[in-house]
Amino acid sequence: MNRAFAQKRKTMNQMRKQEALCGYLFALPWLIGLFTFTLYPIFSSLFYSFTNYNFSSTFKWIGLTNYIVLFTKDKMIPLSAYNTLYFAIFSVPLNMCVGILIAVMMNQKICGIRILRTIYYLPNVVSIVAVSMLWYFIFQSNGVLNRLLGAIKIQGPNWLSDPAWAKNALILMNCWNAGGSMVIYLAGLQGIPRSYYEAAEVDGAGALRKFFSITLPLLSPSIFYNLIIGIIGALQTFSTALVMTDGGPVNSTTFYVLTLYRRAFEDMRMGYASAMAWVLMVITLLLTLVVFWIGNKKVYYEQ
Amino acid sequence: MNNLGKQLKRIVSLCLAVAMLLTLCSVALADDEVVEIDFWHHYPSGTGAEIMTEVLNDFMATHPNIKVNELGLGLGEQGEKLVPALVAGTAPDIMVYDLATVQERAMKGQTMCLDDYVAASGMDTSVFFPATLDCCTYDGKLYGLPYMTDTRVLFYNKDHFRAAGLDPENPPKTWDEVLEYTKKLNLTDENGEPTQVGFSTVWWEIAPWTMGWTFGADYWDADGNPTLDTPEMLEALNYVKELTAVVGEDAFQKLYDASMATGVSPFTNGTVSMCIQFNGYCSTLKTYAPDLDYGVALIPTKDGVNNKSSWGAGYGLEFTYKNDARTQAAFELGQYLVSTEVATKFLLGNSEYVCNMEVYENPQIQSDPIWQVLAESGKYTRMHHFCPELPTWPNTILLPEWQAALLGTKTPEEALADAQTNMLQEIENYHLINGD
Repeated sequence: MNRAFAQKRKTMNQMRKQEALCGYLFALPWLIGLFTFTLYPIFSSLFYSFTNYNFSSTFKWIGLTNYIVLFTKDKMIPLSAYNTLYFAIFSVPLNMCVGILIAVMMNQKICGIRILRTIYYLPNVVSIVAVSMLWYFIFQSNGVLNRLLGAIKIQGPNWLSDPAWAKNALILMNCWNAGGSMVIYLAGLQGIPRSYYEAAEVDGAGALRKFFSITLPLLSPSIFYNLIIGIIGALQTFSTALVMTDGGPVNSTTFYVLTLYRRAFEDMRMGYASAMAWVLMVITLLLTLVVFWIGNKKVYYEQ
Repeated sequence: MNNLGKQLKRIVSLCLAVAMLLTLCSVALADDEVVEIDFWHHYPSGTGAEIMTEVLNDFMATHPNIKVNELGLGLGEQGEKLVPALVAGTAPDIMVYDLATVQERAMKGQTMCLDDYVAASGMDTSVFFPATLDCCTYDGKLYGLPYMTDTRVLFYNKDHFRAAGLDPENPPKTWDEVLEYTKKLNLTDENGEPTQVGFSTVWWEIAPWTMGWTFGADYWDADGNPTLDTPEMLEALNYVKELTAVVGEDAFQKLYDASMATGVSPFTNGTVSMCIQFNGYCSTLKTYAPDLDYGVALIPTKDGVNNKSSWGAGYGLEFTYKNDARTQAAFELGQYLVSTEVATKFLLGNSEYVCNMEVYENPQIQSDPIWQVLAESGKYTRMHHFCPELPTWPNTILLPEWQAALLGTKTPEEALADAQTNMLQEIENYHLINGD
């Protein structure tokens, strides 16, 4: 009796094992991809960050030297960290405001709204290099923006060649991508039941009151999501600066990842650049955790 | 039945083995006859690519024992493909790559020393522009063959010169003359709006390194230590400040932006009278301003006699070792490509500024006054000094400080002193990381 039970359990175990094996086999193509193209590069970069790897076959373990130079000696690090923080602090809230504004506008039931939504989302699909060329003309000394400013009697600056304005120009340009977050806000807006607004109207609430007391709180999960994605994106900002200003003028648009890229592929300090990448990773992680910790108390999740 | 199956299997496997052996033999035999080499060049398409294919076909016709597999890489692709290939040891036998970084690869042992091959072939390396040859030399040994380069010269608009009462055959030789000419060439309309400025002050045309050289500055002493804050450099920086003021910063910016919005530089559309441009600009002018009456001259210097300089970059041919036969074949191809006969084809066919100086003795080129100036400029052209600690020093250390001084956020003295301090710091950082 006991024996038969043990026998049965054994076959059960075997079946389960076989099933698991099958599962792994099916997942294998993805697992291979994950290990070779994601995990292996990530952890080899951690390894390289402790070496003086420079694309040649000879490199040696140098312990924490890269990190020590990074934190105490390299002048480009505080400079590019400042530029990046400046960019993030102004760009993330601005982008969120623009995104919400467009989303609210695009949530109206009017004729041709789908076409309008597509138009607002379009910049996210266009190559960043093409977009950069376009904005290059907008920001010229006698470009579109300065002519508009001139029409209201404001003498516009040399957006891209004045170190005091170049960062602001890139922040402004980044709003162009608000269409990406708009889609998420729009989905959030459409999830808010009409009945809430109707009830508020019965109570005599105006448009502003409805926006701040119903729309914003119920939109908070989307805002929270976009905030985190926005922070991560802003800390990694890179391509516009590379294409439009090449970090200039006077290093005013040299962002952290641009410095990282230059250290890796122009100065050939691959090990050092790996250390930079890991420092950025840890900072981003900590920042996200802080935002999560604060945000979770403020975000309203409907049960 | 079973037995038969076994026998059949045996026969089949035997046949397979024989077939494999035969294939191996034939491959080995073929190897004896034809050496196959890979060659990556810098012409993905266009006239250059056509000439290259033709030249390679000629080469294979005269060298029937060599088969060349060519691959043309665009500007962006070169680094993307070659850097990993060099690390992984899968780089081609012969490749066209950046002259400025030959020494870096020589230092890392990624590219081959050519001294023995050059000696065996009896090749004369003194035919190459001296600066390009220096780029290929590391520790006294040759690691690449100078292939194509460029040079920068002064372009001036002869019609503007005539209108301003200046001699169109007598371009400025000194920087002081440039100031003088510029004052005469600046024009405004009745509202005071600029319509023409005398000199183009885009930073890369009057780049800090070019300007410094023409004032006699050198950024490295004999021991390889940086000297970015010399009196000569300060003089050059102060001069550029003055020139920018004489041209008029806003006036130039307006004309420049207006012109770039139409896709051409302000010299091309005739709103700027003088500019410093690289040799390829002649082709641009031929396409976009065929009627523009312009002349070229060497870049002015402080006194018009000493320190004649220009700034250049370029391509060299580099080699990797696979086996003796392949390297020998690759070197023969390299020698063929830099030869006067083949280099002339690239110059005449695609206006390429080749490194072989003998090419410019060709009668067709001799009769062209512009090519004559370009060829002379090549002799004075310098390339960036290879600094293993920070190859990007011109752009990352010198330029930002130079720009800060021009914008007035730092005094010229402060800016150059900061550049020097930053450079020394970078060198220290490099040695900390590399432990020597």
